[in-house]
Amino acid sequence: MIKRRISISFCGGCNPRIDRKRIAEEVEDYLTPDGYIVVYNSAEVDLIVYLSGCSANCAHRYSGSDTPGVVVAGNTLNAMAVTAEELSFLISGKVSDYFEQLEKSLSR
Amino acid sequence: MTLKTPEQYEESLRKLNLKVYLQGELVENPVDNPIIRPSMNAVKATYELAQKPEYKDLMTATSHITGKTINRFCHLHQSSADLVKKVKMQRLLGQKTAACFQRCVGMDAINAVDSTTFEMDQKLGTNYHDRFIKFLTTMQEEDWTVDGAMTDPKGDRSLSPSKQADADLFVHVVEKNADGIVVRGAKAHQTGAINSHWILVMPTISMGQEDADYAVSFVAPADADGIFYIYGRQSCDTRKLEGGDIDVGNKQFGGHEALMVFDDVFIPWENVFMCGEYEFSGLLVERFAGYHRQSYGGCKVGVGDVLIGATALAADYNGAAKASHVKDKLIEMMHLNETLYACGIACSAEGCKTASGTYLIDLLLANVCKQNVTRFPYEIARLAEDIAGGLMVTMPSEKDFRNPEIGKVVEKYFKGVASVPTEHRMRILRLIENLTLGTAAVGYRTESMHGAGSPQAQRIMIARQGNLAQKKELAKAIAGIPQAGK
Repeated sequence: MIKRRISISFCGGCNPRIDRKRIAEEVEDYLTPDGYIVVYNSAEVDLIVYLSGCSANCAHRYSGSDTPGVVVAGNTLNAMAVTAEELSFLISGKVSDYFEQLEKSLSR
Repeated sequence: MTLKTPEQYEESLRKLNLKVYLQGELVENPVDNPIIRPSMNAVKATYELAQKPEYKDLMTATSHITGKTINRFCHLHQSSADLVKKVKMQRLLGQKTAACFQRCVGMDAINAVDSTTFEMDQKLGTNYHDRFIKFLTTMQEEDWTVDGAMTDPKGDRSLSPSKQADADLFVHVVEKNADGIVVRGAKAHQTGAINSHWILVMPTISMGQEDADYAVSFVAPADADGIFYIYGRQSCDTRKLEGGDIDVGNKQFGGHEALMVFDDVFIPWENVFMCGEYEFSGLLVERFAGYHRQSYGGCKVGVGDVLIGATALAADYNGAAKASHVKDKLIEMMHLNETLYACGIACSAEGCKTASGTYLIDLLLANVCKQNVTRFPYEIARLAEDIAGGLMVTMPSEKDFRNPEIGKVVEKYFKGVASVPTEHRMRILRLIENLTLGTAAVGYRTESMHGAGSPQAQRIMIARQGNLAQKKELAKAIAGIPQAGK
């Protein structure tokens, strides 16, 4: 199994519509038991969860990073509307899907 | 052809077989009708400026579908920079025409329909987005003007579409078959409809299951069988029939609205983008309204620029330009106008990418923008009338001015500053009259109030998106009150 290092990268938090801290903690709780290494605000990882509090999407917009990402902007996940309650679960699912696809392609 | 010349645009309109009623009569040739013609000239300006190298950056864009250079009015915004350029283009056109140039509504409609059909397909497994992109590709290739048609007559506002006494007060599907659908109803206040090649129809409100037949979006050629138009009356419109060029205030450009009637119009399936998916009607309305509220932060500002310039000239011609209160009023007008522009730019700069890749404005800021537009043009117009003086509405006509005998009297007694010809003073006062209470006031005042939704519609959106709960938590934290969940 490849190393699964992810970063949760926050926007500045000036006017958030979602509780970014709670969501980040829940995502970490979902992922660390499965061997993921979760760090914050780093570009030196395999995947970034861009966690912006509103639709302005500053975490992703100003990142300047080429690292693959899952983009959360307010109540949207990769630009599709989701509820705040299901957000952390769905983010974790997207992260898992990404690494599963990656491992499949590497094993071919 | 991806950029029509202005001449090609005019020629393409002549080929349409539009059925237009104006003052009770069927208009044989809308393009050359003196009441309609200035509005066609305003749309034509969107083609003309796109040909000029000095305006290319704002007036054109690169199609994300074909990679070709297209008119920005046919473009899906691919970045927040595109959203900003849209507002700047609208300000430019407002400055050049001092009128409503009518093409924004179609641009806003294609952007709203794109992301909504994409998300509808993702969720419901429909194939509307592919159909829409096929239409859009041709629209870009042909450089069509498309009328985005949203507002239904609505009848009794307390009743939903399906509960109205007359089922046709909202556009609805009356028949479905293997080839397509048949629609009936009307769209009111249709800006630029008579200068458009195609019509893009959208539902006008959020709908429930019982209103499924009214949740319909489609495109139709503007001259499709069963579609006809009744031209909207404007204050002072018959001055255009008098043949002069001073009393009209703005001889070259104008805007128009019309009632568009669908009398059992057949729409093939390939042109249908929503048919019964009522749960997506609210999203489409919200996105279209958001884009259109952003638009007003550009176009009304451009017209405001002309009105402020005209007012400053009136002060010059009156000999009042050095009075401190006049200077201060001009500063206030500019402050109000630039505040509107700032809102248009802000909601664009904070725009975000939707799932289809098309960028959406910040909806809260777009609604704040439009809410200000319902107020500031009125104050700008009030200050313009203040500085212009009463002569703006008591001045004799152009025919009096041209009369060999009394013309000399008009020339003598309506002169202001000696070095300025009386005719120039008359022209600038008529322009201010045109913008504040003549034909252009339709666009600058009442459209600012009700176009893209009346003030209360924006207040509802501001309430929904203003994040009041978070503000309360901020106050609690500062005041030392325990916060929720802590």
